[in-house]
Amino acid sequence: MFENIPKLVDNTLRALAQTGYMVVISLAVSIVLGGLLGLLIYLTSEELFLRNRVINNIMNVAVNIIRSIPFLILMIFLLPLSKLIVGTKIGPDAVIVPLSICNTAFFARLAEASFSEVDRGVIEAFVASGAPKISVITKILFPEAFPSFVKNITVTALSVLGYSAMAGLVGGGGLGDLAYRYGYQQYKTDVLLVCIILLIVLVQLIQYTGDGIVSRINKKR
Amino acid sequence: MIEFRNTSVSFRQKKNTTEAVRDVSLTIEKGTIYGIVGGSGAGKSTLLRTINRLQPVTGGDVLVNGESIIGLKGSRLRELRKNIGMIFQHFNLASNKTVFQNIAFMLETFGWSRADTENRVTELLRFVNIPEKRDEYPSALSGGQKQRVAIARALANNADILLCDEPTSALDAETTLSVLELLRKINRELGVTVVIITHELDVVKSICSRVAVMENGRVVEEGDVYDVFSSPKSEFTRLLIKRTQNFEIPEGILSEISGDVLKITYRGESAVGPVLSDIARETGADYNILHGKIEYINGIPLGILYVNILGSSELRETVREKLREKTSEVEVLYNV
Ligand SMILES: Nc1ncnc2c1ncn2[C@@H]1O[C@H](COP(=O)(O)OP(=O)(O)OP(=O)(O)O)[C@@H](O)[C@H]1O
Ligand SMILES: [Mg+2]
Repeated sequence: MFENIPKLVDNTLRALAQTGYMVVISLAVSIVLGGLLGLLIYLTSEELFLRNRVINNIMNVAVNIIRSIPFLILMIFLLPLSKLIVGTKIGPDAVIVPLSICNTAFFARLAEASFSEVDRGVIEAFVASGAPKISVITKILFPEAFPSFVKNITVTALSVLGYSAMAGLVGGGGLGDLAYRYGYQQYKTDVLLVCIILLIVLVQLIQYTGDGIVSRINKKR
Repeated sequence: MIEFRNTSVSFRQKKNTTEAVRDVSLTIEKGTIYGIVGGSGAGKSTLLRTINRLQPVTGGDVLVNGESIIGLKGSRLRELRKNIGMIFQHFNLASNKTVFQNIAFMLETFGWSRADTENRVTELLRFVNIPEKRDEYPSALSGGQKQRVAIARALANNADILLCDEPTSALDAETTLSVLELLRKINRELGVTVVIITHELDVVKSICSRVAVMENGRVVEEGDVYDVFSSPKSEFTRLLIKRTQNFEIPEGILSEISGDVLKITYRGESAVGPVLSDIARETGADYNILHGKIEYINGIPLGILYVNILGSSELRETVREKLREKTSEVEVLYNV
C-alpha cells in the first residue's frame, strides 16, 4: 500500500478532471434538453396552456423508454452513436453522449414535476386576467417553479455523477474508471479508498451548494 | 350585463359524464351585486368560470355586454378577460412576487410604462387600503390582506366585471365583513358588476341585490334577495335557509310549556310587537316570547318570532286567526 504516492496523485487528479468534465457537460446538456422536454410535457398536459394528448403521450413514452433501460445497457447500446457524434467509442467524450441522453430523460421527469407543482390556481388567476400565455409562462410559471427546479438540478447532478462512475466499466475514464482498473482489477485498496472518499466529498459538495441556493431563494419570500 | 342562455357544461371522463351546469338561463344586470349559492358540487364555480371562458360551455350561449363569448379566441379572448377581474377563495397570488410585482405584472403585460405602473399600483393599494404592504411578499400577509391584493390585481386594468369564487370562505367573520365592505365600495364607486359565489347566506344577505340558488347543475330559484329569503319558492332554498336559522327550543323549556308555540314570520313594514300586544289585550290571552330575530336584507326588515301563547284552546284559536290576518306567516310548532 501507498508505494507510489506521486503516481497515485497524478492518476487521481486526472480522473477527477475527467469526472468533472463529464459531469459538467452532461449536466448542462441534461438541464437544457431535459428542462425543455419537461416543460413541453407539462404544457401539453395543461388545459390552460397547450393541452395536446397525442404530443404529450409521444414525449411521455419516449422518456419512459429511456428511463426503463438500465444505464449500463443504455451506454453499451449508445456507444456506436457516440462514435457518430464525437468520433470515438472510448473515453470521457464517448461517455458524455449516453450520460446526457439518460439524464435528459431523468431531468425531464423532474422538471415536469417542478412545473406541475406550481399552484394551478395561481396560473389560472393570471391567465384569467387576459395576460398572454407566453408571459404567464416566462414571468409567472418559471419563477414559481424555480426553487423546485434548482432542487431537481441538484438531484440530477448527483445522478450524473453516479452514472459517470459507472462509465468506468467500459473504459470511460474518470474516478469510476480508476477505481475499477486499479481497485478492482489490481486489488489496490488505496486507490479504491481515495476514489470513494473523493466521490463522497463531491456528493456533499453538490448537495451543499444546491441546498444553499434553494434556501437563498426561499429566504427572499 | 351577463346573460346565460340555456348554458350547459358537461365533463366527459372515461366512463361517466358529469353534467355540472344544466340549461341555465339568467341575466345579471350591469352594476348589480349578484349572488350564487348552492351546495357543494352544485356547479356554481363551473357556471362562474364560463363568464371569462376559463370553462368552455358544451351547450347554449353566454353573452357579456351583449356579445357572445363562446367563440372568442386569441387577442379577442384576452381583451374580454382583461375586462373581467376574478378573485378566489385561496387568493392565488404568486408567492415569489411582492405585492407590487403581483399587481404590476398585469399592467406591464398590457404595455403600461414603468412610471404609469408605479402610479396605478399606488392608487390601487390605497383603494384597497393596504398601501404600506407594497413591498411585502404574500407569505407575510394575513388572509384579508391577501384578498385585498388579489382584488387590486383583478381591478388593475379597470375591469367592469368582478367574478368572486368564495372570496370570504377562508376568512374569519370580522375579515369577511371588511372584505365585503370593500366589494360593496367597488360596486358603488367604480360601478363594477360583482358576481359572487358563496355558501354563506349571510354574505348574500349583506351585499347582494339578487341571488340564484343552484342545485345539481340547475338554477332552482332566482330573484330579488329579499323575496328569495322571505318567501322561498323551492324546497331546496327553504331547506338551505332553515339550516342557517337552525333555532331549536331547548327540551327543558319545551317540557314545561303549555299552550301553543307559534313561529311568526313578518316581512317588510309590519312590526309584530304592537300587533302581538294588541291581540293579547283584545283577547285576554297571555304570551311569552321565546326567541326573536330581525334581519335587515337590503334595508328591509325580515322578522321571525317564536312565541308561546297561553289560555284555553278556543282563545288560542282566536289569537292564531288574528295573527294570521296581520302577519305574513304563522306556523304552529307545538300544540300542548
Ligand atoms: N374539470 C372538471 N372535470 C370533471 N368534473 C368536474 C370538473 N370541474 C367540476 N367538475 C364536476 O362538476 C360538478 C360541479 O362542480 P363545481 O366545482 O362547479 O361545483 P361548486 O358548486 O363550485 O362546488 P363547491 O361549493 O364545492 O366549490 C362537480 O360534480 C364536479 O365534480
Ligand atoms: Mg366551487
